[in-house]
Amino acid sequence: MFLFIFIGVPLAIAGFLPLISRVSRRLLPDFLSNLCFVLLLAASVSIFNLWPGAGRFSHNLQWFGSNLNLALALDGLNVLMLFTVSVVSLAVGLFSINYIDRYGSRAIYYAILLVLVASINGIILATDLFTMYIFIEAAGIASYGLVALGRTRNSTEGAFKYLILSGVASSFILSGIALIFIKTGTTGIREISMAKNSITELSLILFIAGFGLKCALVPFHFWMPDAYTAAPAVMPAMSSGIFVKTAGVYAICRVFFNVYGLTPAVSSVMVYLGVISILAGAFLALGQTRLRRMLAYSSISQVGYIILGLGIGTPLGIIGGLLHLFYHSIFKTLLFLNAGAVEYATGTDESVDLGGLGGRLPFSSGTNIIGLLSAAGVPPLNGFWSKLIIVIALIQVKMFLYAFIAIFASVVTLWYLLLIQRRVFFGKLKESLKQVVEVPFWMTFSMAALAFVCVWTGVVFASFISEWVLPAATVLLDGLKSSLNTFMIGG
Amino acid sequence: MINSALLNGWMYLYCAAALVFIGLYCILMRRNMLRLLIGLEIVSKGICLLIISGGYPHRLFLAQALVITVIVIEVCVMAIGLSLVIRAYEQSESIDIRTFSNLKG
Amino acid sequence: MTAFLLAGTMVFAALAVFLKDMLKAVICLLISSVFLGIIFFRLNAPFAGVFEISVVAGLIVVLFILTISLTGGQKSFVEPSISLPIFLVLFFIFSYVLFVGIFRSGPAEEPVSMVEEYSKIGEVLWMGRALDTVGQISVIFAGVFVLLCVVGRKRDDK
Repeated sequence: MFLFIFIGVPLAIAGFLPLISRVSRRLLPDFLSNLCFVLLLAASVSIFNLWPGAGRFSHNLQWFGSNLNLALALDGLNVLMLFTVSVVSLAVGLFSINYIDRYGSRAIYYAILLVLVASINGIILATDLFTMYIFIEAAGIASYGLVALGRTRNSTEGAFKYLILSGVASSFILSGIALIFIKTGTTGIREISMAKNSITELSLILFIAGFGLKCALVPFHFWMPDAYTAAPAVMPAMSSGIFVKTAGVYAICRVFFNVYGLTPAVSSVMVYLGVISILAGAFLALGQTRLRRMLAYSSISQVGYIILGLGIGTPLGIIGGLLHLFYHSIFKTLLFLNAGAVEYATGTDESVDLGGLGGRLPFSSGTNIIGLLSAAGVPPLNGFWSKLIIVIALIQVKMFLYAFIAIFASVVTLWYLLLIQRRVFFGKLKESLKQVVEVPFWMTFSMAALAFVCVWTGVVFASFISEWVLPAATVLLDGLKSSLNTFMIGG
Repeated sequence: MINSALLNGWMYLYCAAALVFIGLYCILMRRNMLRLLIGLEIVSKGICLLIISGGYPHRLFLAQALVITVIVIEVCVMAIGLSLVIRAYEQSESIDIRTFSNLKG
Repeated sequence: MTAFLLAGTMVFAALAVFLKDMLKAVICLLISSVFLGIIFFRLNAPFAGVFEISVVAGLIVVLFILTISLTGGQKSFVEPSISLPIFLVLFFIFSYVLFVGIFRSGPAEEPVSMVEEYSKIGEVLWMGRALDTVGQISVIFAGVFVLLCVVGRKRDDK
């Protein structure tokens, strides 16, 4: 029963929210949604404490006497992902208490956010490829809604283009699943990994295309800048923070490590795509002046790091990739929320019109500095350790050129992020911005909390790796055999 | 299994592949927003045909459950796409995807 | 008979792409869905056939016609297209490549058993794959809330 609350509680609250909003427009939706996020965070931490550290658990529920086969499973990778999702969703939930004033319809927004979190938890906990596909679609529909929240002409355009491209990606994924179904007659991860010779090459190509579109690998990255600039700032934070990681990177991990097994062909494709994404994202971000567009290209670059680390296939590479997955969720969400705070305070996103806000917005400026130093990989903040591990893993397998590219792109990242920081926060205060005040309390609180997590996970990175990331990496390294040691829990 | 799909004719598989191609061509080459949605629908039809013809004759119930779910998902996506088209028309009097290029660059 | 139905599906789908008038294109989509539903019936999959005809050829086409009437009728404009022979050549090449890709290797070496596992369709959706049902509920919730957000007017909260 315990695992189902990750999916069931947000869905139930989302169902009741439009009804409750008749009673109280403002207080009750805020309070209930954030209570739900706090509950999910507590549940994921307590699962981590209760969990013995190895193996997989499945659940069967009893519903009025008959055995309801809710096949949810938990292993090391799931625990890490659940924790990431709950931290990011709590931060975004707290931030949007004040931010959604500008957009209205607070209850519907929280309902969409809760359904998004429930679907993402569903993707993580599913044991069946088709169930993963259903929840990927549900989360996608929720994100189209978040993009279209702005009700301007740009948001409609961005939402429609995102819908079409993401719909094509989902149909690629579904074709891959259909081909596996034709060959083996089933869609469960465990059954497919036990049958030999279960995937055709076409299926692999379709999966790479589909999941690559979902996580914005080059050359499938076209939707990300347009969708992120047209949306309210909470949407890029949720999407780049957890949706891209879950529907893209986590799904790639499950399919290519646990279902199919990492062959040299797949590994080299992942490494190439990762390196191209790193370079393309870094260089395309250089020329941008709009804050969110630059951060979108930076996201493309950082996801390239994650895929590169995972594609190497050695234990150190996988640990580096997973560590960068968690750290990137934290600092990229912080950077996007900062961009949202700047827009809330000044009404514009274009860095040409801004300048010298450091004095007027001290909290935002401080947390932005912490965020950008983490993103660029400056010690002792958290980005440094994950990038260092990925570079060491590359040197271990003698890919010296790629290691050099990774370090070079890190320097370029530092350059453009510092450029934006200088333009927006330092320098002379423009005349039109003299009236700007600091953003309200909940927004600064969530940004400060994320900055604190950045610094703290950077300092205690060694124990973090050994407790959280190492079991996750073990799951991926076991590969096809990891689904075999599954324990059943009734109840 | 693939044996049964062979038995029943390679025609089903070829038709599914052809439908997917027609749908992808429509999405790539057409400018009217409604046609893009028609293309997405045709791709889904192709994949439903692939699932059902692959599940014949031993896995039909599972295949039908999969197809029913896919059709439900398609209805939701189409409904949202169509409402976005209506709103785009209200905002700018045109449903040509080329006029919506504010966000490039 | 089967070949005729399959050819009909493909031809009407292609017509739905190429016709200039939006209303006629949607009617071609409807006819294509009906053909596909009949194919499903012939393959002993009645539930899928019923869903295909009633939902796709019913609900989605009605929504399309509603949208066409709300967006100004049938204004059509010049669209880029390649000439018909090139399209046919690309069509045969591409679908042949897809088809060979599906066909390439034989069945899995330890195939799962050849016997049908379930006996009724309700059993699959409720007993066998209950999490899929939860997934469908979340898809429907997401769709409803996003529609409420897109269609509704902006309200100020106090």
